[in-house]
Amino acid sequence: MPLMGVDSRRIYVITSAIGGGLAGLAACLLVLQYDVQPFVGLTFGPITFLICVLGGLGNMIGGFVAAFLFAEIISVSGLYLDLEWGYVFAFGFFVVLMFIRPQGLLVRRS
Amino acid sequence: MALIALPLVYHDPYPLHILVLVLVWSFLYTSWSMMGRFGLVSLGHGGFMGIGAYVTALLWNYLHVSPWIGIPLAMLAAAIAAVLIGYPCFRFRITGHYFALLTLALSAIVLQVITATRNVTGGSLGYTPERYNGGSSLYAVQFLSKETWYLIALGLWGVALLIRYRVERSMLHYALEAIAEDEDAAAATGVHVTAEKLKITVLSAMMTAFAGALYCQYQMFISPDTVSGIGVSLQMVFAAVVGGLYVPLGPTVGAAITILLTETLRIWFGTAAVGWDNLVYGTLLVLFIIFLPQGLLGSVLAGLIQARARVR
Repeated sequence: MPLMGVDSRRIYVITSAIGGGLAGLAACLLVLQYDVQPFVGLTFGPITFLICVLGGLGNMIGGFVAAFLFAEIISVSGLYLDLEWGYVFAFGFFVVLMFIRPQGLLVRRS
Repeated sequence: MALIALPLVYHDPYPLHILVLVLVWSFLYTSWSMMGRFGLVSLGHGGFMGIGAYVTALLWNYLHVSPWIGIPLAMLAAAIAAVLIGYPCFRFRITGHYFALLTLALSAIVLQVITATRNVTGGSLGYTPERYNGGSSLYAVQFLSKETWYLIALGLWGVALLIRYRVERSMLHYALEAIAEDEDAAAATGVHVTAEKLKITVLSAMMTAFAGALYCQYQMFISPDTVSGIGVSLQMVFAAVVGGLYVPLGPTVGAAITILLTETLRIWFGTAAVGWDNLVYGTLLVLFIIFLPQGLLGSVLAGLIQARARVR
């Protein structure tokens, strides 16, 4: 890439800045629904990562579908059982789906 | 030898308590590093530790099964969990980030199951194994004196180092090293990739569960956040990397550094600035990982070898 005139370090810095900024914006929106405590990052960070991978890295629509599925599994199980079981089912769902479709939900197999 | 004789002459409980903790965590970090050094970055070890601690404690409280039987059962449970997550991963060739994420999901599942079954496990409030006959008993593996625990932890830490030493001189080590370099090439030369990876994963998981049970018997109090979950998994990765993955004593150095650092900062700042210790701790971890990627002990040993070569 540097040979084509792309300053890769600059691109990395800009990308991380945009990514961090968007995460901050998302956190602002979360505050409307959840309470704030020092470990709030630790509760959402891993789930975010799992959803991205589940949808397929870099696949926006896949990410959206994965987020929807995750949220529904957690909320609907939380309605009938404890909320923790919702998380258990969601993580289990992730594990099983990764075995079936390691590239992500919406990515076609090459 | 000096380490064995220490409790005979030294009886101050607080430093002994810190030493026991360092040894128990060294055991854990060593078992993680046995996998981690071959590029199998597992974030599921918090789950294995939680299984070890909770299975032992629950069997003791509900069914009155002595830890002498409970600990092997806990190790078996952890081994089953390791196979359940490990076999499909290795079979479908899930490596790198994806393996880390799947194991992360495992430790998250264990954490949430412990919290969800709060009627049995006490949930996030924690859990205490019942005292047997007022305290010290070999049958219940409960001892009141710190000196006894120090000797037990020291002996088991030695066993962990011995296991690591034996693995490093076995065919398994060479097979896994080949797999870490290039999985296809290793398979082409006749290495059974899935089986070899599964072996080290199960071994590591069982050792982690054992250490989890040991931690439970020593502390007599476990809570989901201290023995399982993502925080514990990350702590293992950080400490092992800080100490140095590739040298046998690296994880021990990592445990000593992280625990002494946390304790020192806690004593310095006290309750006046709760949470500051984590700030300093986190910053130091980032610096260590950027500037000493081989770990502290790894870098020191590499430097010594270089210096010796220069003298010649």
